[in-house]
Order: sequence, then structure tokens, then C-alpha cells
Amino acid sequence: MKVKVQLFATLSLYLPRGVENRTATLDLPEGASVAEAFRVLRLPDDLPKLILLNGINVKEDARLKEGDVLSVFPPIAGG
Amino acid sequence: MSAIPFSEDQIRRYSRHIILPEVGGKGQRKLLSSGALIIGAGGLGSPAALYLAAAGVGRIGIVDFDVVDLSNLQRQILHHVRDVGRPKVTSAAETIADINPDVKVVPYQVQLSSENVKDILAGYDVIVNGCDNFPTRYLVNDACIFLNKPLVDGSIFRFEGQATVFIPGKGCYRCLFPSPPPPGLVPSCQEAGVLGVLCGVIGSIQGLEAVKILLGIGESLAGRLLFVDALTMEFRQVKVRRDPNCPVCGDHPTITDLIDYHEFCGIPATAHIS
Repeated sequence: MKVKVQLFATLSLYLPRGVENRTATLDLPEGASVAEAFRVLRLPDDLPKLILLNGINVKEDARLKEGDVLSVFPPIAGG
Repeated sequence: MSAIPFSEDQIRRYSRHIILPEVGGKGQRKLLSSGALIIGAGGLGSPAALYLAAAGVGRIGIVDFDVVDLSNLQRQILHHVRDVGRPKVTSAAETIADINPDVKVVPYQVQLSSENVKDILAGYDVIVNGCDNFPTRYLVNDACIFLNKPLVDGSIFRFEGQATVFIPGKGCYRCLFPSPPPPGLVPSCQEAGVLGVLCGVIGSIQGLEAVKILLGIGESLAGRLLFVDALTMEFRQVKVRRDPNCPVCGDHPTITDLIDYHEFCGIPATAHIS
């Protein structure tokens, strides 16, 4: 199944090269979790993240389905 | 309430506020008798301080231990060429005095720590956080919870910014991000760069939210995290809520004292995926 993952701010460093609009399309096994998507992108476990699945707040154990859009925001500190 | 009458100059100066029914003379008096603390006289603190001063917030505290550097002038609009090498709080106080002599500026040329943060925050009605590092963000968040102060948070990175409001009892920074990222995982602004104008957008939103809180009008960003992408000019809102398991403002807090995290900066430990 294909899901889209949008990574914001500091997390965009973990996007595969060449993707557009800060969005990676991942091909994952049916029923894969958010955490599994993060592993594919090699997002560090210990980096705090705000996760939206199709615009709704979820945790890393949420299950994904075909066509889902994940948006992931990190804390940023600049001022 | 026996209010001190406005001077003629004040009536003229604040006329565009006073004619707004939501502000009026009463609201303007409220602003003049309010205190706002701005943490960081940098990219975000500059526009926030300028607008709060122009709005006639009577007492503005400014915390910044640093001196003005030429590289600050690309975005830190409180400071001028003549200020390079001078303390930012001094420069800020002078700039504000030039805009509005009604405002009393209280400069704090210190590094915030668990030792001084409560004393400094205690005397203000709203806290505007425009600091540039995670240790101070977590310190100020926790202090605002302990002191029951509304906190207007803003931050920037490259072309992106975030802004929100935390009202004690309705969630805090740790409800979103329970603990700081580990050292070395997040680049600092100095290393990553920031588009200067973006500071004006986020810092002005912070100033706006602070004024609304002081006046008690409108709906604040509490419960919403606003993300701004300057390159695409997209504004996204994420609903956020108090986490009952939050380590500092949850039902069973595990953090009951202030923590001094160590300053850290560095480049991401993990490289690009090729």
C-alpha cells in the first residue's frame, strides 16, 4: 500500500533526495504502523514529533491504510 | 475604578485603539497598566516588543544576556547599526523609548536559569517567548505552569515558523513535546539560517496574541498550533490539547521543579538517505 509522509522543518532532512513538496511516498506492507513508516525514513526515535494522520492527531502505534497522508512536525527552537 | 485620565497626547496616540469598541478607553487603560515579559530581544522578540510598545503596554520586561552583532540586523529590528557591540536590552530600551515614552522597559541582561526565572516572570501578566534554544523553552514553559502565567510561544527555523498560546490548565509545550530533543539532533538557527522577514510574521503574531490576552478579547491560539511555511505561504493549524499524562501539567506530574537542560546545538546525527 502507498502512503504519503510530509515532513516539516528539521525533519525534512530525513526526506529521500529528490522528493517534491516535502512529501515522500512510501510503499508499506498492509496494516503497517506509523512507527514502521518512520523506520523506513530513518527518523530518530528520540526526536519528539507531533503526528497527524489525515489531519488528526495520532501516536506512533496508529495503523495506516492505502492513500493515508501523514504529516509530522518537530519542535523548533529558533528565535 | 478611578482611572487616571488620558493626556491629550495619549488620546491622540491611542485614538485608533480607543475607537475600536473591543478596546475602547477601558481596554487602552488595561494595556497601559499591564506588564508583558519578552524573552529574547532577537528575531521574534523584536517585532513583538515593538508592537507591544506601540500598543501602549505599560511595562515591558526584556530578557537577553547577549550583545548586538552585525549578523543580527538582518532580522532583529529592535537594533541599529550604532548598537553593534552593545547589550541587546539597552538597545531595545532605547528603541522603545523612541517609539512610546509611556512604556517602562525593564531590562534583564541575564541568562535565564532555574535560579532566576520565577523571580523574573512573577511580575508580568503575559510571557512572550522568543528565545533561540530548547533549554530556555522548556524552562520558561515549566515556570509558566508553576506560576500560572499565560505563555505566547513562537519559534522559527529556516523558512518555517510555529506559534501557539499556552494557558495553564489547558495544556503546555510538554503536552506536545514532552522532553527536548537529544543534543546534536537539531541544528541551531546559526547553523541552519533563517529568512529574516519570517521573524516579522511569527513575532507579530506573538505580539497580537499577547495584546488579545491582555485585553481579554477574541479567541487565542490556545489549543491550536499554527505552522507557517514562508516558501509556499501556507498556514496550517494543528489542534492540540492538554495531555493528562503530561510530565508537568498532567494529572500526575513527574516534573515538579525547574530543570536546567544543558545548552546543545549541532548538526543532525543522521545523514540524508540517498
